Amino acid sequence: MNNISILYCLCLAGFILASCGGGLQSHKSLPKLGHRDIIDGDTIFHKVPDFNFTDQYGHEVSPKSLNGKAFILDYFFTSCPTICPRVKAQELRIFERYKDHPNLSIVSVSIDTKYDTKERLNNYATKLGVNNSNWHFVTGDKDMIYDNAVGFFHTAIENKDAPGGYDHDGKLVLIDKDRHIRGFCDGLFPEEVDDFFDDIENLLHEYK
Amino acid sequence: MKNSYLIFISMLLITLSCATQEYSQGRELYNYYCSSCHLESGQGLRSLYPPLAKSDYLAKYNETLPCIIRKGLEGQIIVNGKDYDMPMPAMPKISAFEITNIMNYINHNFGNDLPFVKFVDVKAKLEECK
Ligand code: HEC
Repeated sequence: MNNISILYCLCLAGFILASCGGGLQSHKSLPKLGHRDIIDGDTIFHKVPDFNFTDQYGHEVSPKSLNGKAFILDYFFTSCPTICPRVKAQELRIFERYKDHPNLSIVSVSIDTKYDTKERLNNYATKLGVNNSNWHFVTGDKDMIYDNAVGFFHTAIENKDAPGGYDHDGKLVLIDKDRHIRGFCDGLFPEEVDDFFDDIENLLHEYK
Repeated sequence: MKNSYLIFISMLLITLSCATQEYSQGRELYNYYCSSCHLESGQGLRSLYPPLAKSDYLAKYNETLPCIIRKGLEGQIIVNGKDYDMPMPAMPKISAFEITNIMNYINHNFGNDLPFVKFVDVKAKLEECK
């Protein structure tokens, strides 16, 4: 009996120490999220699918064009009546902090490939006060956008009965320069975005 | 005698507590129908969505607001000296009762001090709008 309680105390102390240790470290390393395979003893982590978009200035946005930058990716559309304006208000907080950062971009992918032309996206970005190519508002091949959604941890479904005609979510997904997903949050909730700032800082620390 | 005092005091307390939660129904409805674009405190979003907080447009067109909500709004407008030009979608299913509650909430919040509106007037207005 006595032994068990000593063991219990030791475990508890261990836990407390471990959690404090985590707190003392100023930069924790972020996990690589998603499905993983182990091949010949090597772990192969999930990578977001390849992509090739066009942004509000007509520039290509692809892993190649982002060349070594981490990025935050979300799905939206300009005429979205429900969650998008609230998510955009939160993304503006991130943009304001990192708009001139050499290692971080934001990529907002429109799922309304019919209506959201390059011109409309440009107009939307301008009205949002974004006139800087660190935040790309992009369009692209419809199948690529829809088929790849899951690989980006997003959902995108055309649905006549949904408000505005599309079902989607307000996630912000943090992707590193090797296309691994390193964190995400629900952009509808300011408190989640507060924590997401820590993830961003931790990831950018890897690039120092 | 003692009992009626108690009843009186509890009535008073109930009224007071209701009064401090001003237009709570309107707030719920506002959050459901409007806050996605005009945001929680009616501040709007940059040049995309105009503010309702201290909006001169809201003050000027307060009487037509039932129609704006029911039918939507399109074309360029100027709010507090800034241009806005994005369509606000119509809400064909929203009721006169809901509109009355929402209007009383926004008319008396976000720094606004606009008239109190009555259900009968909103209902009459809705029959007029095209
Ligand atoms: C899908 C987004 C959206 C929703 C939801 C929405 N609005 Fe609007 N609202 C707009 C846009 C965009 C304009 C500017 C219209 C224009 O440019 O002609 C606007 C304009 C207005 C205006 C006039 C301008 C001003 O700021 O004073 C009022 C008043 C208003 N909305 C009230 C409401 C109320 C009340 C609700 C909820 C019942 C609501 N809106 C829901 C997008 C929205």
